[in-house]
Amino acid sequence: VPGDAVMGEPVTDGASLKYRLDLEEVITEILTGFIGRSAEEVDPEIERALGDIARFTGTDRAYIFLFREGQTLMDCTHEWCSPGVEPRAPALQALTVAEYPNVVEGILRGRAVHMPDVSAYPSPAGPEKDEVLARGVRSILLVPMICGGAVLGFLGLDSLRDPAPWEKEVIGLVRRAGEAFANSLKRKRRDEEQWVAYKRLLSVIEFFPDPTFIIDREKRVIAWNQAIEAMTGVRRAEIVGQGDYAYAVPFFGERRPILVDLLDLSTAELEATYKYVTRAGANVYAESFIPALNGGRGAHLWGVAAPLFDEAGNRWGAIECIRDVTDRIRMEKELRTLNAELEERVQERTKALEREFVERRLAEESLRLSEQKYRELVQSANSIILKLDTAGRVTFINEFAQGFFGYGEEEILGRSVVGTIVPEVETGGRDLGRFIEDLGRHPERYARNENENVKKGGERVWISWTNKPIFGPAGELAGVLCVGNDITELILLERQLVRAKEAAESADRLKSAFLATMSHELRTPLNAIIGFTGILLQGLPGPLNEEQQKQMGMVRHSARRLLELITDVLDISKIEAGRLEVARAPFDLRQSVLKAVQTVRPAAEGKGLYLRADVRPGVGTTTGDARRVEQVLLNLLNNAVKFTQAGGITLEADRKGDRVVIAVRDTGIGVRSEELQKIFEPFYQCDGGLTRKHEGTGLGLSISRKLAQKMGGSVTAESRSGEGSTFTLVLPAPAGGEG
Amino acid sequence: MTPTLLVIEDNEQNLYLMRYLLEKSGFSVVAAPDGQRGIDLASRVRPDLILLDIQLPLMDGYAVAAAIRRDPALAATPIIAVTSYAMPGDREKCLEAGATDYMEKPIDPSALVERVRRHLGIAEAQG
Repeated sequence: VPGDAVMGEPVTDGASLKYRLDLEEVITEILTGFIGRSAEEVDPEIERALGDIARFTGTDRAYIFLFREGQTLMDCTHEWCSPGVEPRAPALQALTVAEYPNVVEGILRGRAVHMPDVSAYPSPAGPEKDEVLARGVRSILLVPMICGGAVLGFLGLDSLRDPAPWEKEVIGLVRRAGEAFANSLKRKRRDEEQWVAYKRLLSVIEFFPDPTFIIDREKRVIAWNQAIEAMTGVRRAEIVGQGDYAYAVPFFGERRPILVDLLDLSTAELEATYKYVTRAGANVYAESFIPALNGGRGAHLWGVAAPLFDEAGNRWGAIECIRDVTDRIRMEKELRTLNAELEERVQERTKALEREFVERRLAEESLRLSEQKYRELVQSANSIILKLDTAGRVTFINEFAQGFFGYGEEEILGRSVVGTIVPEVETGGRDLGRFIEDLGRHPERYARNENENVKKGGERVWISWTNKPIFGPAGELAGVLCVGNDITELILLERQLVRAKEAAESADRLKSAFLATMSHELRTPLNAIIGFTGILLQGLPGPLNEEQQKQMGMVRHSARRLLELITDVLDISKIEAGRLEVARAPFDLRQSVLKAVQTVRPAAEGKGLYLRADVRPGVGTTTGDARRVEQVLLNLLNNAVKFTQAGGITLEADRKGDRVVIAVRDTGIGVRSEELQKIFEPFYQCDGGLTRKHEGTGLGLSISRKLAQKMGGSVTAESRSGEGSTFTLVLPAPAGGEG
Repeated sequence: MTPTLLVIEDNEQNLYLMRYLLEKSGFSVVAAPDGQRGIDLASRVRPDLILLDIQLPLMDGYAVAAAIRRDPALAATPIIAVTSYAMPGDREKCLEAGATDYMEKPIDPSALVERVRRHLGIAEAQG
């Protein structure tokens, strides 16, 4: 500290120890009073401290002057006056420093200036002295306020009473108070400057069209622009000052670190943890989809965050700037899709072109080959190949056709087919001239046709033609391509076949009619014979004698045999002709069996044979031809009676599953095993030849077997010669058919 | 009263046989040699029973049976069809055409008389 400028009397240094201690206490209070004070609290605190100092030093006025404009002007910024003393501060504004040389010169040099008696003001006094005197000041102490080596202003004490010497300790300690004020004021001024800077910063951020916010070192929000208000719906007033990740809530619905919090991570850590975050220098970038935004529709956000530093390079906060890129992403996507489609189309087209190229080359090659083959084929084919123009003139004729019809190319090309190879009129009367005329005009109507043709020598032939229209370069009908095959032999065969078929059908009809007629015509006279025999035997016209009775009996017997024979021959004819029909109707099989047994009973009893029938309960209603079943049963039973001389016949009928088995067992002469199959052949009879002793047509078993087969069943025989036979009839009888 | 039977039969000998047999059995017999005359006679005489041969010239027995059935006065008259066809389905065809019963030729004289009596509701002992 340079030596103090002293005007007038020297400073005393005889202050008591107590006084010095009290002063020390005041200064300490003053100094501690500034600790932790905010900018707004600085001014009242200074004014209070000025009062403390004045009271302690017994002065009437304490004040501060601050320089400005490069120490050319000064203002009285703070003032304390004891009661009754008039404040001067309002008058002491914007004073020109140069007008107070005596005071300011020392101050600017860092010295304290004290004047124990103002009346001894050094010359030239001027307005400086006038001003001081005008205040009624008798004694003054001014100390510089120095901060960081710069003199900001000075602290002054005025005494309106008798001049008093300023003790050394007082001066030193007031200097210290001045320094404390200087520090506070300097800090205050810096704070004010920072506030202005902050305001500027805010106005800049407000200008950003992108949603932007700034946080301080403690991660409290200090700026939140209009754009981010619009995006999030959160007002600046609601969020500024909030810490603890409050800024994450509008985006993620919870307090959590976001992009701006990733600035301190190392690049490696960043890349390992966050897939969509990248770093460029100090900045981090991210792009992500936030579902909560856009009223729940979600938004794609692009963001950048950067750390903020002060001029000394200290980190004081961070900024994050966000951009809604939903539309851009959508457009990019569309663009990518369009590009991909376009690319695909280009590739397809390229491939198609390549393929076309290859195909065309192959096609040209194969066309060349096929044309060559086609020429060879057409010329040497074993088919008639012609081309006609629309008027029916021959424009092409292949070698085969030339040979076939007997015309050389030069004889027929250019001539109409009618009158050369086509006769004017077909044998059947068709007008071929008109046909060819129509064919030339409308070949599409005659894809295939058959017509009569004529060779050069006059021989008529039949040809089957395939016709195709030929078109000219402009698509107009140019002619007909005709490919023909000689079907003369086929036509002749067909005609023969038709005639043969007609003959066969007619023969068949005749045969049917013959069978029906025979049936009727043979039975009608027999009806009379049997009828009248019966009447005579009944004695209706009158009684017969014994011999007449015997002979009429023989007539009736013979007539009945003749009827049987006729019936069997007609049956076998129908079977052989495949004309036998069987009915399919429900009938009672039990009744049929019992009826047949009853029919042969008289004959059996007449021969002294027993006849037993065992029809089990399973045999009942079934479906089939009752008359034919009865015919077969009668045949089997009659045979049994006929070939049995002693013992008898047993019939057993039973159901076996879906079939009915009827066995007729006799104790007769039996059949030798080598004859067992032959007995089913027509006209066969054991002991055959002229010497046979049994009556019968030899057709019965054959008919029975055929009838059984026709009804879906069978007739089989088991026998040992001399030990009797068993003939078995099997018939289908579905279980459901039983009533 | 003696029941009147109409016999429609084209074969002279068979007709004679039938007439002889039935008259001997106590019936009154009228006869027609073809279908149309049979139909006319039936509507005029209104017989108690008709014996109808199926194999008739011009108009067959099926048509005759159907025509007779169309006359309301003859709707309930028994018709016994007599046929020598003996083919499967003949019986069904006869019954379908309107016949009451069916017999195959050659006929057994006593069986015929018995059948006629049964349809007329006459006890056998009466003959």
